[in-house]
This record gives sequence, C-alpha cells and structure tokens, in this order.
Amino acid sequence: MEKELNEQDSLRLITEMITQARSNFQKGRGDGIVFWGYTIAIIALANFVLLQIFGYQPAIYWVWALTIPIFIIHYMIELKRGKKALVKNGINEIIGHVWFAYAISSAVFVTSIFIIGTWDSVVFLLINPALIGMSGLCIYVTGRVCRFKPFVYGAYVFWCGALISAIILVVCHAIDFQFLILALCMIIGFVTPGHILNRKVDQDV
Amino acid sequence: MYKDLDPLLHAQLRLAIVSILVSIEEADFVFIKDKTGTTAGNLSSHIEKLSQAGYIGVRKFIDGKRPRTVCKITQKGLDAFDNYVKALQDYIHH
Repeated sequence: MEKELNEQDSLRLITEMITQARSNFQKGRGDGIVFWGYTIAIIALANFVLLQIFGYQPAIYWVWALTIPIFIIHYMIELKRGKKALVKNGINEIIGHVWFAYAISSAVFVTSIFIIGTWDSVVFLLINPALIGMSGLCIYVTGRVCRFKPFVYGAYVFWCGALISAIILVVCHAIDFQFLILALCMIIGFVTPGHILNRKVDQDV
Repeated sequence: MYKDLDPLLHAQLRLAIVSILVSIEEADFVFIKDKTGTTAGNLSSHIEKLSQAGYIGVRKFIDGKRPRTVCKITQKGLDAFDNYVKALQDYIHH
C-alpha cells in the first residue's frame, strides 16, 4: 500500500484508520449479552411458573441464586477471552467496568432489601422495577459509548418495563407478572440487540 | 515540500499503523494486518522501523501454542503523531 502521500491523503488515511479502529467490535462481542439475556429471561420465566404452581413460597426466589455460579463462570470465560482479544481499547474496558459494577450493585441492593424486610414486605416489591431500571441505565451507557443504537432503544424498553412493572403491581396486586415483564425486557431490549451486534460484527470482520 | 513532516510517519503504511494505535490501547499484529490490508512481511518490516524509533512498543509472546505480537504506541510515538498532524494542518492552512 505504498504510494506518495500528499497532505489530503495523509489526513484521509489517519481519519479512516482511526474510524476503523474505534468502530471495531470484537468477534463474539454480543455473546455475553445474549447469554445473560437468555439466562435472566429463563430464570424469570421459571420464577413465574413456580409461583403459579406453588403459590407465594419464599423458597421459590432461591432460583435467582443460580446467577451467582453463572456469574463466576462467565467472568472467568470473559477474562480468558480478554487475553485472546486481537485489540484492546478503553471503550471495551469502560463497558466491562460498568457491567461489573452493575452486578455488584444489584447484589448489594438485593441483599440490603433482604436485610431490611422479609420476603413478603413492601420493599421486596421494589426489587424488579429497580433492577429493570438500573439495567436500562447500563444498556444506555453501553449503547452510547459503542455508538450502537439498538442498545439505546433497548434501554428505553427497560425503562418502560420498570414503570409497567410498578404499575402492574398496583393494578393486579400480584408480583407474578413482574417476572414476565422482566423476561420480555430481556428478550426485546437485551437479547435482540446482542444478536444484531453479533450479525454486524460478522459482516464487518 | 514536506521538510517539516516526520519522514518516519510520512509513509502510507507506517502512518496507518500509528493512526490505528493512537485510538486504541493495544492491537494484535493480525488486527493491524487486516485493517491495513498489507502482507505480513511488509507489516513486520514497518513495525520494526517504528519500534526501533521508539514510536511503538512490541510485545511478543506465546498464547497457548500460538505466537503472538502485540503493538502499543509509546509517549514518543504519540508526540510524534501529534507533531505530524500539526504540521499537516499548517500545510493545509498556508
């Protein structure tokens, strides 16, 4: 690719290379998003089904404890993947930190709720709307930092989901449907953009 | 005409390499090869020149069974790139 450069060629080349490097998405970048989207959706659906079968039993909510070993395994896989990555950039690191902080914050929040009240107290009803809303925040940041609009739209799905989740509780006086809304938000606002991202990466690479 | 332009950067492939590296933390040899569309041999020789000048740092290691080369821009490289862009802007504005 050697030829005599003039000033316009140089600037064009610099712009082109910087744009290409910045817009680069690692292959399989959406895998983690798709994986977590399906995982949370399946657990939420399982929670809904168990509530229908057994009624309001506190033990049912232990199904969410599955997220702890899954998180640890996924974190180790991502560490390994990070070492094999062809390119490292600040953007990927920021997004990784945001989601890691979200996982810790969620765990602290849920633990605090259990410290404050019992499983049938009012504060317990806040868990779903709060976590759905916080997920919207992280998806929004991911979408804006990556300049990937499907995530931005996904964030709006989550924020609407958080509000509907609170409204449905007042209207139906039942927590069951919150889990259906959570599963729906995960599929529409998380899994779908993740698949779109993977398709975009496959086309770009 | 281009007496103020750094001759090390004023070459298409070397400028492309440095432009990629200024915008990311570090990049694998394979990534740079894909983005620049050049051959491995050609890329190696230009990376070597930039490395000898202290513009980029090169880390070679074995990842599993695969040898890998990862490049990262140095502060000297960033300064040289900055000066190069400023010199280019001067040419355009005068």
